[in-house]
Amino acid sequence: MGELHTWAGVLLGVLLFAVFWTGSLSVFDKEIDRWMMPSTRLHWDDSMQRPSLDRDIRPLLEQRAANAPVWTIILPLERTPFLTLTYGSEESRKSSRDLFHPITLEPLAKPLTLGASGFIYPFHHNLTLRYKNIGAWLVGIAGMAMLCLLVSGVVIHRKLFSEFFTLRLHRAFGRSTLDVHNVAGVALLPFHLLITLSGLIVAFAIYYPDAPQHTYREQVQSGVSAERAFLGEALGRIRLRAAKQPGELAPLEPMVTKAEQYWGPGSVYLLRVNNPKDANGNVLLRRTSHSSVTKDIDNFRFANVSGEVMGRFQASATVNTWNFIAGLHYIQFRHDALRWLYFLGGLGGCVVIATGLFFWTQARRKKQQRHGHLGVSLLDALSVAGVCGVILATLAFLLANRWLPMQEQLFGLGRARVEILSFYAVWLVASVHAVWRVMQDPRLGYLHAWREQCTAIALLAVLAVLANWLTTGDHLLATLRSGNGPVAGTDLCLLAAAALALLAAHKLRRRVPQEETLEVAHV
Amino acid sequence: MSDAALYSLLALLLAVLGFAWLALALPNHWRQVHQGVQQTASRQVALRSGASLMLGLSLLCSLAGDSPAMAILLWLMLLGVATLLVALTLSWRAQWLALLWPARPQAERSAD
Repeated sequence: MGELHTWAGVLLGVLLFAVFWTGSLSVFDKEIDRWMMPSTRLHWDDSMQRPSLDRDIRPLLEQRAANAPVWTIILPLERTPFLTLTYGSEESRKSSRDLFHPITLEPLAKPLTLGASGFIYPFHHNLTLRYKNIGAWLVGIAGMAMLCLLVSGVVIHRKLFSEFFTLRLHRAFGRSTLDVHNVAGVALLPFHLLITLSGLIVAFAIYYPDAPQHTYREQVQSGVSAERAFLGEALGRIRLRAAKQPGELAPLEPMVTKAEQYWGPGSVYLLRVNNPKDANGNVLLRRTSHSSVTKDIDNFRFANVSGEVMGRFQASATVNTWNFIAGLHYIQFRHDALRWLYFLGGLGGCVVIATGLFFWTQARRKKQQRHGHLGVSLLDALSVAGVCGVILATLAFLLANRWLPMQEQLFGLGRARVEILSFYAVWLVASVHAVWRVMQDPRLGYLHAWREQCTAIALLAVLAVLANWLTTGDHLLATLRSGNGPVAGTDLCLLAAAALALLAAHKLRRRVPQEETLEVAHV
Repeated sequence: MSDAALYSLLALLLAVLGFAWLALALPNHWRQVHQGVQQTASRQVALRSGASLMLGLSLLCSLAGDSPAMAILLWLMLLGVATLLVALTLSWRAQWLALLWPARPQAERSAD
């Protein structure tokens, strides 16, 4: 079990850290989006009057995308306080998206960024390596490793109960690192088990791609692909073929009224109009699931021309069990306290992984102090690059978002792509720095690498807060006073990160001379 | 403050109290908090049963504030937070926990 804990941790610890880090940020992805997309720093709550679908929103769609095969309307919600319209196009599957003020319906300035929900969240589940789902598989392997780490960690914990609360922070470096690793690991064990297991279950379709093939054999014989048959039956996703005959779209408002008779007032948040101008089209309505852990995927379908109900999809008990597990992982329901606890629990996971890596290299270093060991040095560099590096990369992503000029194209690339390139570029620089430091001084280089990158984190985090102030005028006092929670919260978290990073850098600075005297004593 | 938030806070406080008592039932932490007071088996039983009661009450409180699924999730998270708070208190200001289960050295000695 000890071997399993070591190898799973050493091989996949860095990847796991990246997944836990981006996952923790994804808990607040929509809030970080408000920070990164200043034109969407608006306010919306349920008591406000929704814009009228037929009078206000239809003309916008007609005017911008009269011939689009798909229209999607996402009504304003508390965490996304604006109206979103997306239009599919015949040529490409990529659709364009426009945002509007929830009350005046003025078009909002294009965000020119993918934001946290468009980059950090996808990174969390597929590392943005979409080719053949390689990224999702890597995350899946890391998830399995995390489960092994959790179980083996409990088994190899020598004094699980007698040292349940033991945190000797004032003791020697190695002792206190291990205590933090143990106490945080044990205290957050239920959360980490739940979040890792649910994360794996959520993505079952990737890890068991052939499962529908066996269940839907009959449908496959009649010419429907097994995936389609499964998506239709389990998730209510049904494809529609256009009749190529013109049709007139019926009023949307009565459809919403009808659906809300069953779902409750104000519960519809998404309408998707398939083939709006065709005789064979439909309007699909989805509901929010603010008040339940279970992610609600039920839908209502109306015929586009007659406006009659075509069908109502209600997920089966089995699918809803899965939806419960998914809802538990995605935490999209309304519960601020739990959202903060998830965020902190995820960061706690980062602490457990980082202290685990740090302790391992420390312990190995002590054993092999005299010869110096290439493997340990490499793992040292890898840990710095994996822990500090990904944090620095995230901060670079935020800084690029605020500092790059607001133009669609920069250096011949889309602005959103340049932000992502800054993320990877800074991660690369941090990795090179870590390797350079460790190679340059095999004995103490790792301490310098950790310390310098912690200082860099503090610097970039403060710069990000300043950049937000200078580019939008929303400084912390203003956002706190006006109750702009998402922006104030992001700024405060950045400042807290800066303070913690400075504290860590300070502790590491004091550590260097101590190590030096130790070295002398050994010689 | 909404009712749900109040119940969550109460659930957290009860969980902290529960875990603090569990910590005091452990010999090393008892020594850390009450120097020179002998721990007795009956007091350990009392601390542990009190702790179980508090953790149970904490669950009830979170059930009172939220729907069952959210309440259990919240309770699990609060248990983690409470454990960390108790561990940090023990490492930083261990004497504070004496307030949660006072014991006087003199009285102990005369009883021996």
